[in-house]
Amino acid sequence: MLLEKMSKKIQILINNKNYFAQEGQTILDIAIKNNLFIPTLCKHPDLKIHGKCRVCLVEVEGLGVVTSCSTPVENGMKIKLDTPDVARARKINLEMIFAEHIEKCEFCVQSDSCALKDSSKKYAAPLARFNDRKKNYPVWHFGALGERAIKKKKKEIDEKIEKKDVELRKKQVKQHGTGFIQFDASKCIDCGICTEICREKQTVDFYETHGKGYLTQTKPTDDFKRDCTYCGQCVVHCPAGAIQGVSHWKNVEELLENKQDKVLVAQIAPSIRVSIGEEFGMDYGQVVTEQLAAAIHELGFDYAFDVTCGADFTTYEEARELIHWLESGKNRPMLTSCCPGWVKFVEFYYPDFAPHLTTTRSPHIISGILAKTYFADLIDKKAKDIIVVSIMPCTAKKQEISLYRHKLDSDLCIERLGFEDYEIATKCFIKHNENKDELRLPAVDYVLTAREFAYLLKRNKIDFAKIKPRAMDSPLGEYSGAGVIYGASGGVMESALRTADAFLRVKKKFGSLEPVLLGKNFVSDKKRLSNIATGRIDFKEVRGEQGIKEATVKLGGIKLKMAVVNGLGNARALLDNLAARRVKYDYVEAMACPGGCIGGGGQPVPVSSQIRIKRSVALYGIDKDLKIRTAHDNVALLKVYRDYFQGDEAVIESLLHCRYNKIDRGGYKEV
Amino acid sequence: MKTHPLIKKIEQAGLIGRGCGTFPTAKKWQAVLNEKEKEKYVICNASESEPGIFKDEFILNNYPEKVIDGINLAIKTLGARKGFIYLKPSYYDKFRQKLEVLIGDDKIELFSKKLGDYIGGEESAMINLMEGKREEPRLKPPFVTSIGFLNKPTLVNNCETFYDIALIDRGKYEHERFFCISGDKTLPAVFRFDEKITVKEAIRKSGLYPDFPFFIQLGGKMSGTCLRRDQTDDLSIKYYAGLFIHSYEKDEKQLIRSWLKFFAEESCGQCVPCREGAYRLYNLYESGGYDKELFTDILFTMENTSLCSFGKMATVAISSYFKNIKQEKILDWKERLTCY
Repeated sequence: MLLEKMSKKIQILINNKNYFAQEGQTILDIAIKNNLFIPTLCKHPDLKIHGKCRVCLVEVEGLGVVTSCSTPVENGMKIKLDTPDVARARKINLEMIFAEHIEKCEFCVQSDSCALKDSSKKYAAPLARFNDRKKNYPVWHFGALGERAIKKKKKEIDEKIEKKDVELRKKQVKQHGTGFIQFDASKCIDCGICTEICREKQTVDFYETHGKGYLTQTKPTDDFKRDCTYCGQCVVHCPAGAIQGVSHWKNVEELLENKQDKVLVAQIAPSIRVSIGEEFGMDYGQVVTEQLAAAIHELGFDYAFDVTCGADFTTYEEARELIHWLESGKNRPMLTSCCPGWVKFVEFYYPDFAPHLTTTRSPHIISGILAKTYFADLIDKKAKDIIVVSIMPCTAKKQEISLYRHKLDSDLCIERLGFEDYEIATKCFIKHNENKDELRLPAVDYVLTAREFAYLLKRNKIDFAKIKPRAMDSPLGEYSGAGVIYGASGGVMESALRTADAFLRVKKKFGSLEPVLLGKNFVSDKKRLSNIATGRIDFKEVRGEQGIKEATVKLGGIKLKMAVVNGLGNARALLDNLAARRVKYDYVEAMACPGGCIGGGGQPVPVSSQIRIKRSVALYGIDKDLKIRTAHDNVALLKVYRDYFQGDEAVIESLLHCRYNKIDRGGYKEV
Repeated sequence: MKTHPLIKKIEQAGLIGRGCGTFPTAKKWQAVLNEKEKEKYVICNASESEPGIFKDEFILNNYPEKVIDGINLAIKTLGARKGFIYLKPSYYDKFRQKLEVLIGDDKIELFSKKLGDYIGGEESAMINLMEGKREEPRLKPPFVTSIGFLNKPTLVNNCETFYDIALIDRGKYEHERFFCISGDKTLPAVFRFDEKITVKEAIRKSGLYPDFPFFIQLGGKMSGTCLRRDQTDDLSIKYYAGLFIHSYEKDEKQLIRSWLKFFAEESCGQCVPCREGAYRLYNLYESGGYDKELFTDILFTMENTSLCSFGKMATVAISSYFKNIKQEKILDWKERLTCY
């Protein structure tokens, strides 16, 4: 406001029409404000101006052809948008950009929202007048080797094993999956957005630019001190679709075609319901939960579950842990751990803080585990017969499901889940000296990003507008408002505070958290106890788009200092401050992506601050309208605690908790 | 507004930047002086990456004390924290010892770029390199006079400019400039001429006037403008640091190819028209029967839409060659006689 008052108001002419502007604004700013279309490629509202693509050209009297993104307005400036010179230069620049990008549109999940395709059509610039100069550029998969494989590889070199053995080991290394982020250099248009978002916003700095001239190439770094966190911010910001999460949609499609006797479960993340509609031309922030449930069934899945239910479990456990943490005098702060990008960031860059992460697993892992244990028992199936597919706003979740710690314990499998093949498998393991990972069942088998899922629906000609909505399936499709707001920055903390508030009252009344462990439903209980469950609901101080939010909250008579961060750059600042003891917090929520999951790396493109705000407003809207708004009121959850866990802390510990450690750098490979 | 007697003197002398930027030096100094930021820097640009130009080498060899004098004057006048001399690697090896002795306790540091590449001579690319970043020109505005080295106001002047300033300060400036002449059959030499003489006079005075059919490239061997003999008659040397004498017997294809290859390889790779355009021009020309309309379209795009002046410079030699030497009139080869 102050700045605006200070800067002078000036007048400019665009296409012979008068427009008002502030000093310091660019021509493009004014054009956008007044709905005048100027094409752009390398400009993103989240980043500062690059001026690399030279597509947003306009003609200014006296200056000639200039880029509108980088030219500040001056009083009396005469601007023309579509002159012959502008059209001529813009067409050549577009064509030369297209010549860098090898079209692989057939299997590109972003082919429907492709900025390159659109401008090719709009400006009649042929996609292929020049020969494709990047034909032989590689495709990289980040994280493809896995931390263990890298260690192994290092050892191999040390020990100088015979050639034969190395090849054998290489085969084993290959089985470590295909990585999590895919960067196709033959589609890259060298705009530098990925490098900048990774370096400036996320402070991960995984991309490097090598060479000059036409040999300029963006590559993953070889520095062992830097590693990709798979947050996917480069993915949602890339204008050319060159970076994607390693696709799982092909596997899912195969699975749907060849189902056999498996039970297929799809579960949707909280934030998907307000964003995926965009892929079908709906407004930003349109809620499509029921359409999603219907679409999942239409595709051929047997059950449509909601990760929001898993989020309630996370809240329930995290609130319990928070109270233990505060009472045990453990080193504070307690850090949330639902965001795998953030977890990887802490484990790799700040391993000293790894013990501060809450041991509660992330929501979709919990609901995956419950689908394979509790739900499997319900429908009388074995864990291995249930295939869980998560539909996520996230690319890092692809890495999370591959982690050893998030796989079902094999001992537990024999005992509780009837994993009969265990013994045979053990023998195989000894024989082939394979990694023990293979023996464990993953909690979730595949992760589809919102884009991948929308692409899958489009391939099957399923349209949200025409589908008949239906409710999510029971029991793991029942959720509270607290779970829904997990999708926005601050949501995890708010949910945990709502429940911790109630737990503290339980503790005061009963002296321990025993009733909580047993899943006691206080709402439906006798009247005099029902007020235990109802407490403070709204914690508006932790909501909002800001990168770092601080709040002091009074909980059960204790004053707690909270911080909520989103974006890894902000997270780094916070951890640096904590490490240097400049600040002190009791509880910190962190998300790797700006705005939390609603700005996640698996969300539909484009994203911008305004779009993220619309999505988060929609999430808080759902929460507000729901009858059940706290995790400890979720009946489905309480039923699991009462009937399935039966207060057995060992079972809860093994199913819902895990540990975090320092990790080494993951790899990347050319495929 | 603050002023300084030295800046007034420079203004009266009418000194323009000797690095071919042709920007009035006094204005640049005034701009840095006006900045409120206390931390300021001065950089002497002796990167001299244009082939066929070697006057900085001559100056550093013969008058290094004047250059350092000039830099010290700038540091004093602007209240700068530090001065740098930014040198081409070969110059660094050659002049390091001599310069270090002369600098002594002054607040001047030598900086050698790692590679002898072309774009490092652009002031903002140079500053990026000095900060340890990638060698890419920055978007302007902001200009380096307000946000330069370490985001502080920075004065960047050519080596010769500092030399001239030392002279101005002592009242010995005589409106002369250094001028390099070299060519296919001409040995390279540096001369000191009155800046008002014409190019033709300069060649005559140098005693290097060729006895074979020739055309010249004014401003350097790569980015200079190609001119016929008759076009040099009333062109002042004021804005140019030298010229290259081409023999008409030369293989035309090889000449054009050398220009195109140079710019395709030396582009920093940041913006599309320069990175892709230079490569496509080279590629088209190499492929033989190229589409001339497309060729001019790319030249037009590079000239008008490149991020820095490098992309514009990359088109000068080739379009002036077609226009002036081959005198092709079929297509709109640009009207251009100025050097960037």
